[in-house]
Amino acid sequence: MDKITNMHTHDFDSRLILFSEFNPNPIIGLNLLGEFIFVNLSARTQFPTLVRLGKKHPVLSVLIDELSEFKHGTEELIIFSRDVFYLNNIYDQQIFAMPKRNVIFIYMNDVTEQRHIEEELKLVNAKLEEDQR
Amino acid sequence: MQHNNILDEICKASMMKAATALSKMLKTPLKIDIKPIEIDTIQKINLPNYSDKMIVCVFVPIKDKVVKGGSSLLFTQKSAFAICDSLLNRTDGSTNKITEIEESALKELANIILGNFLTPFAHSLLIGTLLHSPAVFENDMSPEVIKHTRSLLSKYIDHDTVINIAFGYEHDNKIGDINIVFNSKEINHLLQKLMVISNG
Repeated sequence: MDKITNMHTHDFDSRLILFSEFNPNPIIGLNLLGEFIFVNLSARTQFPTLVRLGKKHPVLSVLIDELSEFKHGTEELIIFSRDVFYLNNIYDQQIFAMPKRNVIFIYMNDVTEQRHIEEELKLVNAKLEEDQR
Repeated sequence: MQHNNILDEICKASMMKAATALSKMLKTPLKIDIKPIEIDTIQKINLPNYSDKMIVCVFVPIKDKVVKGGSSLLFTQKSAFAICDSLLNRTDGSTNKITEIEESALKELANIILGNFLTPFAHSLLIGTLLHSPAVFENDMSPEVIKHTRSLLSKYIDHDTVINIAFGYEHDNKIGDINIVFNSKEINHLLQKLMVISNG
């Protein structure tokens, strides 16, 4: 973790790092090679093996491969959104990559409860539709 | 000037939300090209130019009491097939024609994109919600579709000057353009009200 903290002070404005550090949702910063630039407190506590496993960690699964299709140095913003499963939880993951700046920002939200309610609603809808036939 | 800056920020945040929803629907990262906001007449605003290609357009009218407008989701026929493969969980290259199923999937996509744009847009302008109407599907040569899109915009937006908010997206053969157009007089009125409320 010290390694990441040291990188903070070199590569980013420390005030911005602190700003993200206490965000209650997991926030992860990577470069295009999948190396960590920043992992906030919430991400470190919810995914304790993240830093050790790096891009092999389930929450980063296939992400770097998917993004490597885009040319390095491209000016445009790359947006990617997906649900990832980790242990018993489902996370909505919103990914913003800026190849020209060599950064990938990942913002995560635990949507387990929301997804379960959505599944229940789908079942209720399906049952109602079946009853109407 | 200040209004334009606020509008820029509101549009950018709303476009990001719409693009994120699109990426989730297509299950793929997307390269996003956000275009500068245009304020011009319906006949002069930039709508995508696909030369003489066959294109698919899903037009969704915004017939809200507060703001009127419309959105168009445009792509080449080839791109529409690739998008249908993703939406309908088919293997790549399976879709080669547009039937009712594909049309319905593309209309659903247009509704989701517009819905995701309108929610933060309306919240930021303090109007709660903005309602949109059923989508209109069109599959024709590009010049005809663009001409028809302009006539639909004229029909739904009862004003000459409009605000054109646009972004393009791309990944492999999934390429498309989204334009969301509003009556500029109504948006300006809302921005003025927002400024008054914000300033207390």
